[in-house]
Amino acid sequence: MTRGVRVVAWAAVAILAIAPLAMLFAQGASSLGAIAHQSSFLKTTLNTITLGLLVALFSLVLGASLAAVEATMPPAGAAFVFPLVLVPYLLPPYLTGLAWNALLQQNGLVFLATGWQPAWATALLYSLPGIALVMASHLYPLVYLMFRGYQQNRSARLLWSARVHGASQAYAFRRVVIPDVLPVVAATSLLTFIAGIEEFGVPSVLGGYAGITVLTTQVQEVTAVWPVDLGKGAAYSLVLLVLAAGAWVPFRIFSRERTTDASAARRSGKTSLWGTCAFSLCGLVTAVVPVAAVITLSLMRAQTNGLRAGNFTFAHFAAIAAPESGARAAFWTSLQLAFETTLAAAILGFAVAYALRCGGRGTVALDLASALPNAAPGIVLAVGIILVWNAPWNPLPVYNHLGILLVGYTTVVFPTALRYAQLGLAKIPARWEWAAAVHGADPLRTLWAVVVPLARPAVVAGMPILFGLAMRELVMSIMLQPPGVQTISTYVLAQFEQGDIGNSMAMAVTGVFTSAAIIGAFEFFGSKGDADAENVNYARRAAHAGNGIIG
Amino acid sequence: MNVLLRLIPLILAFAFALDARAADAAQLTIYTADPASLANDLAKGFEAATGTQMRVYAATTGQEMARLQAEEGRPQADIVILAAWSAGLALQEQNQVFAYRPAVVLKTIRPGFAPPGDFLPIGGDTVSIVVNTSALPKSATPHDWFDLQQTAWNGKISMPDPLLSGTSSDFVLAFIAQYGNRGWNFFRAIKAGGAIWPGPNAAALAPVTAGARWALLAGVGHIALDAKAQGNTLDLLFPSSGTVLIPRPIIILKSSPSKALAERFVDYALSPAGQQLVAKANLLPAITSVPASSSWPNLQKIRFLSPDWRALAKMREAVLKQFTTDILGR
Repeated sequence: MTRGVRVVAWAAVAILAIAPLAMLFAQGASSLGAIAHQSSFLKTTLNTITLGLLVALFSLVLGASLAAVEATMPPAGAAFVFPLVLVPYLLPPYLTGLAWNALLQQNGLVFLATGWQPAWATALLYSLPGIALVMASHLYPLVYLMFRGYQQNRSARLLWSARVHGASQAYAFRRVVIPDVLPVVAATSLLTFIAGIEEFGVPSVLGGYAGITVLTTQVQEVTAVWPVDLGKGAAYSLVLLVLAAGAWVPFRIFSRERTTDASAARRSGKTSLWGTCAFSLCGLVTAVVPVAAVITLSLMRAQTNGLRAGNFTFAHFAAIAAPESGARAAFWTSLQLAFETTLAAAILGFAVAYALRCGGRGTVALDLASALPNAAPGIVLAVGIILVWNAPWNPLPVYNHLGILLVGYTTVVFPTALRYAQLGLAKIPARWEWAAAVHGADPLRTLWAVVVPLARPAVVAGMPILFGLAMRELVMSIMLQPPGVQTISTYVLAQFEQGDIGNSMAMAVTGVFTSAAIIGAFEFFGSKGDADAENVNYARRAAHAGNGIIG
Repeated sequence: MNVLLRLIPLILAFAFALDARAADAAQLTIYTADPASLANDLAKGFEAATGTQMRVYAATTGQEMARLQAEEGRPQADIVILAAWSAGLALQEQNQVFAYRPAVVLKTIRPGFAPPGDFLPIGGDTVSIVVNTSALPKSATPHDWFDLQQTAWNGKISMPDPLLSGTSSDFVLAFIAQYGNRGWNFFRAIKAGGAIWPGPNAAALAPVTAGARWALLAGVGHIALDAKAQGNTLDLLFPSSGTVLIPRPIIILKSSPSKALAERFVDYALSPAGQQLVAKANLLPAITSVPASSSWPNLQKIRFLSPDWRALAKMREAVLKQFTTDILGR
C-alpha cells in the first residue's frame, strides 16, 4: 500500500522535476562555454544577483515591519485589512509591472490625476531598485506571514526571564531576540531572493523600458526569439538554477522544523489606529493602486487624450466579449486549466507528502527530488519541459497540445501543494493511525478513513492559493503555448504587445476579478467545511475506522 | 487510496483526450504575425467554406521563426504568415518553403507587393515615424529619419524591437543596406540619446500614446492607424528620403501534410473576400481590386525605397545579430 503511494510520488516527481532538469543538464552543459564568452553574460548575471538581493531586502523590510506593527499595534477591521495585504501575492506580477509603468511614466496616470510628475519616481521605476520594489510589492505578504508564524510560536518567557535576571533591554534583545529571529530573517531572505531571481514577468515588462536584461529574460530571448539556440537557453537556465539552488540549500536548513501554519494565527487585544493606518496604506499602495490603474486603462478610449470626461468607454470590454476576439476562449481555457491544475497538484502533493511521512527506503532522495521544482525557476523548468516533451524519442503527443500547459502549471504549483499537504499531515499524531491499526484496519482503510479526512482541511485550505497561482501563470503559458490555445495571461500580454492596450487591460481586469471571486467563494464555503471537519471527534473516528463505522 | 490512484490516470486521460480530439477531421495550423483578429476572421471564413478545423498561433515574426526552428524535428505548422519579406526568403533559403505562387493569382497582385520569392504576399504594410501630436512640440516635427539624432529628441524615441517585429527588422535591413555605416551610427546615436526598444509594435507605441515619448521610429502602419481610429492624436510622418513598403509573406511549409488544403487557404486569403478582411485590419490589401481602408494616407505621395530583397534576406542574420549586441546591448 505504502508502496503504491511511493510509486505515485516518484512518478509525479520524475515527470514534474527530474526529467526536465536532467534534459537541461544534458543539453546545457556543452553550451556553458559559449555563453561565458558572451560579452553581456557577466552583466546579465550580475543584474540577476543584484535584483535578487534587492528584492530580498525590500520584501524583508516591508514584511517584517508589517508583522511588527501587527504585534505592537494590532489593526482594527481585521477581516478587511488582512486579506488586503495578502492580495498582492496573487496578483499577476507582469500586470503590476504594467500598472506601475502606466502610473509613473512621464505623463502617466499619476500626473494625469494629480498634475504632479515625480521625476525621481519615474527614474527609479526604470532601474534595478525600481524593478525590485515592484517585485517586493508581491512578495512581502510571504515574509509577513512567515514572521507572523514565528511570533506565534515564540515564547516571550525567555525574554522575560532575561529581564527578570537583570539583563538590560538592549542586552536581552541582543542575546535573546536576535538569535531567535535570525533564522526567520535568513529563511525569508533566501526565499524572496530565489523568487526575485526567477521572476520573469516584471523584468520583461519594465526591463524593456530600462534596457535591463536578467537571466530569465535572456533565457526567454534565446529560446523564443529567432535565431533560437536551445543549447544556450539551457546553459543560461543552468546558471540560473545554480544561483537558485545556492540559495535553496541554506533555506532548507534555516526553515527546518519551522513549518508553522501561519494562516491560523489568532489575534487578540486592543486594536490601534496606527496599525490600521499602516495596514491600509500598505494594501492601498500594493493592491488598490495598481488594480485601479489597470481598471482605468481598460476604460480609456484613447490613451493620448488622458483622463478627460468623454474619454471613457466600455468598448474594450465589449471587444473582448465578442466571440471573434478569442478572449472568451482564452478565459475558459485559463479557468479549465486552473481547476485541473488545482486538483492534480493537490492530489500529487498529498501523495508525495504521504510517501515522505511513511518513510522507508529512498525517503531522503524523494524529499530532495520533490524540492527541485521549488528551487528551479519557472522558466528553467519550462525549457526543460520543452526539451523533454518535444524530444524526438518522446512518444506521448503532449507537446503543442493543451496537456502540456497542464503539465507545466502543475509543476509550478506543485511545491505549494506539497507544503499544504505536509502541514495537514503534520497535524495528525501518529497515534490515530496506530489506534486504527490496533482496531484491525488495514493500511488502506487507515489512510482513507483517518489520514485523508484529517489532512483534508489543510489540503483544501491550500486549493484557493493553487487556483490563484494557476490563474495568473505567465511563464509556462508563453513558453509552452500550443497553437490555437490562449490563456488569460498570454492574451493580456499579446494584446499589450501586438494589439490594443485597452483590450489587454479589460481582459486583465476580468481575470483578476474572476480569480478573486472564485478564491473568495472557495474560502467562504471551504472554511465552513473545515470547521466541521475539525469538530469531528478524532479519537472516535480513529477507533471506529477498524469497525467500519465512519462518522 | 484507491480513489487517489484511480483519479490520476483519469486526469492524464483527460489531458490526452484533449489532444486526440478530431484528429481525423481536416485540420490546418497557421502561425501568423498578422493581428490575431484578422487571423481569426480568415480562419472562420475558411472554416465556414470548407469545414476545415483551423488552429491559429498569433505571435511576432521573431517568435514565429523561433518556433519553426524549435520544431524542426517535429514541424507543426502548415501555413506561416510573416510580417517581413526577408524572413520569408530566409525560410526559403533554409529549404522550408513549398513553392506556391500561381500566375493567375500573381497577376492580380498590386505592383511592388510581390518581390522575388516562391510565395505570395497576403498584404503589405509600411513603416513611418508615428508621432503623438499632443506631446510633440511643433518645432521638433521631424522630416527625415536622421532628424531624430538631434539632442531635442533625447529620451523621446521608442522603436519596435527588430528581433520581434518583422516590419521593424525589414526597416533596419533596408536602412543599413541603404546607408551602411551612417545607418549604424544613427542607431548608436539614438541609443546614446536614450531610445528604447520595449517590445513589438503595440508595446513600443504605448509610451508614445501615453505621452512619455514623442515618436515611434519605424512604427508599423496598421497598429498606428488602429490607435488613431480610436481617437488617439497620432500622425504618421513619412520621411522625405523614403521608407520601405513591406509585403507580408503567406507561406506553405514543405513539411505540411495537407498542401492541397493549404493552397486552398492561400487562394481564399487572396480572394476578394479574404482581402476585404485584410483591408479591414488596416493592412494594405495585396490585390489591386480591393482598395486599402480609408484611414490610410495616399500611398502615391509616399516615397518608397526599392530594396534588393534577396540581398536583405542574406544580411538578415548578421545584421540582427549586430543590432542585438551593439544597439540593444543584449
